[in-house]
Amino acid sequence: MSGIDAFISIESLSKHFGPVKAVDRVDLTIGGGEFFSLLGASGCGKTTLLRMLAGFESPTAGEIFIDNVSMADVAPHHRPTNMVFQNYAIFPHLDVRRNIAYGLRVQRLSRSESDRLVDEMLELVKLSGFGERRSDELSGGQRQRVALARALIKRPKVLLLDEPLGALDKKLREEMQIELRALQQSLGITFIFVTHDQEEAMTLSDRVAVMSRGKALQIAAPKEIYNHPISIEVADFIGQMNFIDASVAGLEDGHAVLDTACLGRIEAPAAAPFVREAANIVVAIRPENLTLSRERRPDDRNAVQGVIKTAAYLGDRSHFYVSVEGREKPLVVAAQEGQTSLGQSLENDTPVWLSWPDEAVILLEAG
Amino acid sequence: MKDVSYITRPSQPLRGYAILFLAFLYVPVLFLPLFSFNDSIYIAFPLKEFTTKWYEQMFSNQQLHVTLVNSLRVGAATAVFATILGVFGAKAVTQYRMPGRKPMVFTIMLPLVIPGIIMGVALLILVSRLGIPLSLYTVTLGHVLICVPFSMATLIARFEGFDRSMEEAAADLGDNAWWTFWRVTFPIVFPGILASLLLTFTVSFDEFIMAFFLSSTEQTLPVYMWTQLRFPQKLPGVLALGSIILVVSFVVVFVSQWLRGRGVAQIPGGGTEP
Amino acid sequence: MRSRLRAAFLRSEALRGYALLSPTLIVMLFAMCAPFVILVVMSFWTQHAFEFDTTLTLNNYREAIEEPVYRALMIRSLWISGTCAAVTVLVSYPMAYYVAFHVHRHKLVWIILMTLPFWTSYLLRVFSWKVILGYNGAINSGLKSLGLIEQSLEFLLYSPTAVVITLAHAWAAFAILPIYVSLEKIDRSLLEAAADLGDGPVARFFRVTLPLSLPGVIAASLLIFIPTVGDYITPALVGGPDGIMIANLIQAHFGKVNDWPMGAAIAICMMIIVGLISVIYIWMTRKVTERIA
Repeated sequence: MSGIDAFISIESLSKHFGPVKAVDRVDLTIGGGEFFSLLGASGCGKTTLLRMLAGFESPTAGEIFIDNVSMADVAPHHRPTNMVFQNYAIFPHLDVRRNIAYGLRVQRLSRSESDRLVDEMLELVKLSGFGERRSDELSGGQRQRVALARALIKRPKVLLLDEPLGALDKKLREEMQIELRALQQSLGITFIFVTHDQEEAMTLSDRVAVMSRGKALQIAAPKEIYNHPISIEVADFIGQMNFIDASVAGLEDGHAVLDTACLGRIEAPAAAPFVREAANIVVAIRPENLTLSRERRPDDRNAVQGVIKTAAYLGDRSHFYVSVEGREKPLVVAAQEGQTSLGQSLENDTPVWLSWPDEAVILLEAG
Repeated sequence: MKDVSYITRPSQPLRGYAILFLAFLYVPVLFLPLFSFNDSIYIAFPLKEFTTKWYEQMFSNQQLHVTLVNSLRVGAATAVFATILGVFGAKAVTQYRMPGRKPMVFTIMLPLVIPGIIMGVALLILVSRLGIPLSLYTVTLGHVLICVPFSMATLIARFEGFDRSMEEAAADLGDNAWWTFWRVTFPIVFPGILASLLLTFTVSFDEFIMAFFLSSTEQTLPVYMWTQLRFPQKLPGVLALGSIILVVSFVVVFVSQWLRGRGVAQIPGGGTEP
Repeated sequence: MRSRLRAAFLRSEALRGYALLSPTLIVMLFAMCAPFVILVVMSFWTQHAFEFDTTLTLNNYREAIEEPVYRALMIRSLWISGTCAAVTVLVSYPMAYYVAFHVHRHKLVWIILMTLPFWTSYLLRVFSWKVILGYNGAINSGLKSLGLIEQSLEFLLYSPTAVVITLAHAWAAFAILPIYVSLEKIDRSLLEAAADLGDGPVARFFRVTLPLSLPGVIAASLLIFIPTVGDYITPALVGGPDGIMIANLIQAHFGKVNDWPMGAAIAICMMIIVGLISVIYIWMTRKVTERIA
C-alpha cells in the first residue's frame, strides 16, 4: 500500500481449527503509529487474528512480520506487542499498583523507578489514588483502565485491544473512545483495535479492515469504506443502506445507464469490470443521501414518487420508510431534524418525492 | 498440535509424569491379584505356578459367605439411608436460600475429615452407655454417618445443575410436593441418586475401622479379612478375596463417577468434588 | 394456629429449606454430637475392670500429658502425618496441573482415574504395600531373585518411612481433587496476560498459577494431615513397633488395656492438638498469601 510504511506485515495468514477456517488467507499491512481496527460480526476471525499477532495462537499458514522481524517462532512473552484483554484479565491476587507494575519485572528496575512509572501510568489513565485497590473493588471502566495502564507501561510498539469497550455502557463507552484516540495520538503507538461495533471503528480509526468468515473484505480508511464499499456485504455491514436491483441498459465512456427496479432509469459513473452490457447489478444508496419533498423540485435530476409507510423518530434525526412502486421493501430515508424542506412532520400515507444526487449512487456486484 | 492455544499447549515431561503418577497409584494394588494366582503360601518372588486354587478355597469357605452377606446387607442399608438423607440435604442446600447454610454444610461434611478412630470410639462409647448391644445395626449407623457426606457431595453436584423452573411448572400444573418430586425431580436427578447409591455402598462395603469398633460376633468382610491376616496360610486366600473385591469396586465406582460426571456441565469446580 | 404456621412456612424460603435439611442435619448432629459429648464426659471418668467410676477427675489428662511415651507417640504421629501431607501434595500437584491444563479430551476419564483408588478398600491398599515392602515381600524377593541383593532390605517395612509411603499412596487420590479444582478455576486469560507482559513459563507459574492455586493446596494438605494423624490401619500393618501411631494406642485402651476413659482422654488430646495446628496453619498461610506479589 503506497504511503504506508509496513510496520506490521501479515502475509496470507490462515488459521484452521479442524475443518473451520477461522482466518482465511488474510493479507494486511499496518503502519507505525496507525489506529487500525479489525471490524466484523462475532465469528468473523478478528479476535483469532489478534491472538495470532500476540502469539497465543500459531498460524496454520502464512507469516507475520513486526518491524521486519518474523514472528514465526517468537513466544508471546518475547513479542513487541502488548494486549488489553476483553475481560481485562486483572490479577485478582494483586492490587492495582502491582498489576500495573507486573510487566516491569523483566526490566529489573529499582523500586523507586518502577514506583515512579506506575504513578505516571495511574495519572495517564486517571486512576491516581486507586493504587491500593483490588480487582473486586473496581468498576468495569476502572478495570479497563488498569488493563490499559498495565499494557502501556511497557511502552510496546504495538498495542492490541480485544473489544476493550464492549462491556461498558453507552455513555462510558463514548467517553473512553475519545480518551483512547487521544492517548494513541499522543503516544504515537500503533493500536490494533478489534470491535464488532461499526460506529466505534469508523470514529476511531485511521484505517479499518472489514472482516467476515475469516476473510478481510475491504481494508481502507473509514470514509472510503463508507462511501465506496466494494461489496454488498461490506455496504450492508457499515451503516444503513438501500439496495436496489438493476440491470445495465447501456454503457459508454465510463458511464452506465441502468434500469432499476424502482428508481426508473438512472445514470452513474461506472469503472468496475462487473458493469457490463445487460449485466445484473445492485445499486446502493445511503439513506441520508435521499431527500424527501412534497412536490418534485425542478432542479432534481433524479426523483421518484413514493408513500410514507412509517417513521421512526430518533431525536436528532428521523428515519422514514417510504414505499415505492416496483419494490416490496420500503426505502429508508434519513433526515436530520430541521432539514426536511417540508415545514411540518410527515404522517403515514403521505405521498412524497424522493430525490438524490448522481454521486450518491454506488454500484455493487450482485450477490 | 497447532490447534491448541499457547497457554495450554501439550507438555511432554508433564505427560510422562502423569503416566508415572497413575502407575504409582495403581501398580501396588496390582500385586494382590498377581500373587492370588501364585501357587505358594509365601507372598514372594519368584513366582511359582499359576493356580486358581486360592479362589476355589475361597468359594467353598462357609464363614466367608456369611460375612459376605453381612457386608452386603450393611452396604445396602447404608446406601439407601445415606442416599435418602443426601437427597434431602442436597436439595435443601442447593435450592433454598438459608442463612447459616455454609456452617450447616460444613457440619454435615465433617466426618470426611475427622479421623475414623475418633468417630468409631465415640460411637462405641455412646452405644454402650445407651445399653445398645453391638451388632450389624450399630455398624450401619456408623457407616451412614460417614457416607452421608459422600452422598451429599455427589448429589449437590447433580442438583446444582437442576433448573427449578421445572418444578415450578409442575406445581403450576397441579402437582403437589410429593408428586412433583416423583414425576419431575426424581427422574432428572436419578443418575445422581444412582451414583450416590453405588458410591455409598462401596464405601460401606470396604469400610474397616468403624466396623471394627462397632461389630461383635457378626462381622463384615473387611473385619473378617483383618482377622485372617494373622494366619500366613490364609494369606493367599485373603489376596484372592481382596482381588475380587478390588475389581468389583473399581468397576462400580467408575460407573458411579461416570454417571455423576455425565450431564453435569463442565463448570469450573462443578461436578468434580468428591 | 396451624394455618398461621403453614402460612409462615409457605412464605419463608429459609424455613422450608431448614425443614428439608432437618432429617439429615438431625441425624448427623445426633451421630456426631452425642457421641462426642459422651466421649468428652468419659475422659473425666476412671475405669476399674468393667466398672466406671463417674466422679470427674483430671487424672487421665494429667497422665496423657506427663507420660513421655504418650508425648513421644503424639509427636511421632504429627511428624509422620505432616511429612505425608507435604510429600503427597508435592507429588500430586504436577498431576493435577497436567489434567487441569494439558488434558483437553476425555477429562472426565482422567479425573475418575486419578481419584478412583480412594473409593476402594483402604485396608486392601495398605495391605498391598505390606506385600510389597515385606521381608519376603515383592521388592526384596524380586531383588533377590534377580541376584541384586543377598539379604533382604530390612528398613523397607516396619518403619515410619513405610508408614509415610503407604499413607502418601493411600491419600494421594483424595488430596488431588482440591488442588485440581483450584487449578481448573484459574482464568486462562490471566496466564495469557502474564505471558503478554513478559513472563516465561516458570515466572508465570510462580507469580500467577501457584498463588491462585494456594487455597486448593492448603485444603489438600489439611485434608491429608487431619485424618492421617489418627490413622490406625497403616501403622498397624506396616509400622511395626517403630511406626505405631497414636491411634494404635487409643485402640489398645479400648481393647486389651481396657481403660476407656484413658483412651478417650488421649483421643481428645489428639483432636485438640490437631485442631490447634490446623488453625495455626490456616492463619499462617493466609498471612503469607497476603504478601505474595
